[in-house]
Parts: sequence; structure tokens; C-alpha cells
Amino acid sequence: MTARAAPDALAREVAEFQRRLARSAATLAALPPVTLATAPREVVYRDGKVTLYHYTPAAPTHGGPPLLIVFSLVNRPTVLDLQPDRSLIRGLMAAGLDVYLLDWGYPDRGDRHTTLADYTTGYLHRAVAQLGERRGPIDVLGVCQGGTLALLYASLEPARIRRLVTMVTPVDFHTPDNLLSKWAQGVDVDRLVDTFGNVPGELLNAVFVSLMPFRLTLQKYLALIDGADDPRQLENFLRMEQWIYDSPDQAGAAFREFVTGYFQENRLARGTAVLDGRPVDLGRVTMPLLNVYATEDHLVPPAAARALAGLVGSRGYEEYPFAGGHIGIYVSSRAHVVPAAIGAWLQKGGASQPKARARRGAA
Amino acid sequence: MNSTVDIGAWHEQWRTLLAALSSGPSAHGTPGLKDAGDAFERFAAGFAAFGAGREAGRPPAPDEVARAWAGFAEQCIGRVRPATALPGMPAPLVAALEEFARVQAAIAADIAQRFAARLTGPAAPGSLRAAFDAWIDCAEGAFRTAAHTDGFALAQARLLNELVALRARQQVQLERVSRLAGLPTRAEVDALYDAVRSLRAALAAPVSPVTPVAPAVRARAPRPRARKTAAAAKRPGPRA
Repeated sequence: MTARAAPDALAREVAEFQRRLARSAATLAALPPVTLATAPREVVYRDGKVTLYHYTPAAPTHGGPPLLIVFSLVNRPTVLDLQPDRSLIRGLMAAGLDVYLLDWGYPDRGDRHTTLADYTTGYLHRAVAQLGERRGPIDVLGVCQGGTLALLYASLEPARIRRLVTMVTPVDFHTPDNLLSKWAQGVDVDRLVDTFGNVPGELLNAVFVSLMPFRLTLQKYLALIDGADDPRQLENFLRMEQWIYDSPDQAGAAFREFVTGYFQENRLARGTAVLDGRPVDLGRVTMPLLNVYATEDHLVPPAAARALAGLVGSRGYEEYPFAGGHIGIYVSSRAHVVPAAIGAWLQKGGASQPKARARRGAA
Repeated sequence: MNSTVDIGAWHEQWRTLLAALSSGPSAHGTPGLKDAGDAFERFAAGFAAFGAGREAGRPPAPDEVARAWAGFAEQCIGRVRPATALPGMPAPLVAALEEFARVQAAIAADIAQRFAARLTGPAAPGSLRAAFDAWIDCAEGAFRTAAHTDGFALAQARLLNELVALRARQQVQLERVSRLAGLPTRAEVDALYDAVRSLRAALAAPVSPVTPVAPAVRARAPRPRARKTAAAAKRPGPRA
């Protein structure tokens, strides 16, 4: 240990820490309430608790088909437009795309019987129909679990989707590095859902935090002091906290299907998934497909996402690896490259070579 | 500065410091601040002794530190045992709690071993903040190693399953009382919700258009057939 570890040096360090803590309290108290999802948008239609938004372009779009974003059921899509300078949605608009977002809303007790089929061949189908009836097959960007739902739908209705982009999307749930899947194996999901009805969002949050319990419950809050003098940094922190803990409850029936069928039985990768009574065959996903994954993803390991390459029948499959994590792909300082890459891929018409297995350059 | 490394004593200084910081006013009415200050001085001296020992070529061995820190793990289990002794707590839940506590204790011991190695190694932290960050690294490393094992997953799942089972039993008892009071049970309310859901699904078409996309689109949006069967109505989809 160096001389800095002498008692007086440690005392000075603690005193300085206390001073920064006091300053950060003052800075936090002076901050206005943070807001998320500020990109201008309008409601196109509502379907129960589900809302279809259209983002108002600041400049003319390139005239391509609408791009419908399908987000996960687990968290809120506000992370896609966390703040103006860290916004996947604004990035897609800047790339000249006509962007729509399907917002699942907050399931309540009336949704405990809502199934994956309700979400995909019901809500998602009706949104696709809304957009597609006017302009033909549309582009779809499925994010995280939303990508899995988009794949299910695309396998059943391939003619309705012109091009598909999956982003940090789990496909093979049994890769060795999938900690969530390992933990799910022994859980009695039937008893959990039968008991709770809907699965509380707080429970899922606790699970996600417990994947890295020391960093996410201790270190990140202590590190907040480092930005004590920077209101902008504190605002960013608060936005992320607001998003993280804004967790919808999970509709019981859909949660049961997803955990048992996908986490526990890996039906998507094994080709045994059934939706709405119809078998899910990823070989029917024949449209051009861009698979965006994060190389440091601890929730959806790269291998879990990249398994898609061997399962789809896409006429042109490409991968885009992002050098970062599951959340960083939306909000990190480097994340702006992702919407630009998606926009470039869509504007060139998607991959053109049959069954191509191109791998685009990493971010 | 005392260059003798007594890890057991330093461990005790940690505990005293934490206790003083968390105790508030002392029993005789004076603020606990002085106690905390005194405890901090002792703790800091112990912390500095690590460096002195390392520089003198007598760093404490990692396993020596780990043994001392294992006391924490024992205390964790010790806290679980009184809780499991609560009357009426189901035996499977007690067993699951104890099993998970053992898993956590093993992680705690691994953290201690890793942290001790870090403290006494060439990249020893030189400040409290660096020590904290080093401890986090060690803790996450130890946790990650354990969390990927079948033993951890099974222990955690078993604990969750038993907690859910407890909640289910409580609900059964509550519903018995509810029936006596003439209140609807959850099953009855859920059946109503399911009926509402089926009716909504039967309507199928988008509702509450706020901004019409285009009249033609709305007119051509998928709608259920008038004579759709109940089974088909439950699963509206793109087959129509």
C-alpha cells in the first residue's frame, strides 16, 4: 500500500467524498424533472392498451415503406428516445426513415390471460395491417424480446414484411453464457403465474439487477458522486433510473408461454414453437434480414442472437455487431452508429444476395 | 504506524466502524459521531498496516484474510437461522433459505479470497475509493463464477418456488375468509376478466382511432366475421 493509505490521507479522502456528496445533493435538488421520449410523435390508433405512434419527421423521408418498431414487453420503449442526443428513434428519422412505434402499454389484471398470440397475431398484426394496407409490405425493427415477437409474426405472415431488422434479439436461449436462461430452468413458472396472475415488473427488475448485483446496487450509485458537479450528467443518470424502474407487469399467460416455451424449452431454435395453433417455421422468414447484436451483451449473449443465421430462410441475411452492451446499444455515446447502419441497410434495399451471410463491419 | 498486520483485528475494526456509523445516538444520549470518528481512526490505521506489511515483505496471505472474512459469512447464516425458526414456516422454505444462505456464504468467502489477493498484490489500491472498486470487481467475479453453476441456479429457483408456494397458501386462506364475507374470489374475478378479454378479441378491429391513417385503410382493416365461432374469436389473427 502506498503512503496515501495513511490515516490522514484516508480521512481527507472521506472528507472530500462528503463534500462532493453534499454538492451533488444540492445539484440534484436544483434539477428540473427529467423527461423521456420527447421526439415529436402522434397517435395513429389505439387498440386496447396498445398504442401505435408515428414520429413526425423533421425532414422529408426517403419515401420507403414505414418502419415499425416492435419493442420488448419487459421494459418501456422510452429507452429508444431517452434524450435528444441519445435516441435511436431520432437517429432512424435522421436516416430518412418513416418511423412508427408499437407501444404495448401497461398490462393490468385484465391482461392476465393475454397470450403471445394475442400480442403477435392480434395487436402486432393489426398494427401491421394499419400501415401495410396503405403502403404495402412494411419494414419491421424488432428490439430485444420484440425481435422474437417480430420473428414469430414474420414466420406466419412473411408477405406482410418487406425487410426485417432484429436488434439484440434472443433466438437460441440455451447458449452456455445465457445466465437468465440457466436461472429460469428450475423455476416453477406455472405456479408463479397461477399465484401472481400477472408477473410483477418489480420481480423482473430484481432479477435483472441480480445479474450484476454489486455493480448495479452499490457501485453505480457511488459513482454518481463523480458527476456531482455536472447537472447534465446527473440528468442522464436520472433518465436511465426512471427508465430502468418503469417496468410494466407481465401478462401472465404470455409470460408463462415465453419462459416455458423459449427460456426453458428453447422452442424457437429447435423449431418446435407453436403460435395460435400454427407451427412457427423460421425458414418462412424469407425477407432480407439485418441482425444487430451487441458484443458485450450480458442479457442476450451474441451467440443467442447470431443463432438466427442458421434458422431463417432469408434472401439476404446480414449481421451488424455493435461493440457494447445490451443497453449501451441504445444510449451509449457510440450508439449513434446503430440507427445510421440500419438506415443505410434499409435504403440500399436490404441484402440482395440470396442467403447471403455477410457480416458488416463492427461499430 | 504499526506495521504488524493483524487481519483479525482489522476485520473487527471494520465491524466497529460500520456499527458506529449505523448506530445513531449512543445509549447515554450523546451523538454517535465521536464513536464513529474513533472507529474510523482505528480502521484507517489497520488499512494502512496492509501497505506497511507489504512494503516490509510481510503481507498477510490471502487465505489468512479469507479466514477472517469468513466470519461475515457465518454471521449471514446466523441471521438466517433465527428467521427460519419462526413458528409455522414451512419446512421446505426453511430448507431453501438455508441452502441459499450456504451458496451466498460460499460466494462471500470467494470474494474475501479475491479481495485479499488484490489488497496484498502488486496492484493494491491506494485509496478507499480504489479499494471499494477493487472489492466490487472481486465481488462480481466471485458472483459470476457461482451464478453460472447448476447449484446456484437450483438453490435460487428452489427458494423462489417455495416463496411463491407460501404466497399461494396465504391466498387460499384469504379467499376462504373472503367467501365467508360474500366477496368474490380471485378466480371469479379473473373469469370475468377472461370473458372481457374474449369479447375484446372478438371485436378484433382497431378501436379508438385518434388520427385516421386514411379512410381506405380503416375501411379495410381486419374485422371479425359476423358469424365467427367463439373459438375463432378467442384467437383473432391474420388468418382472416
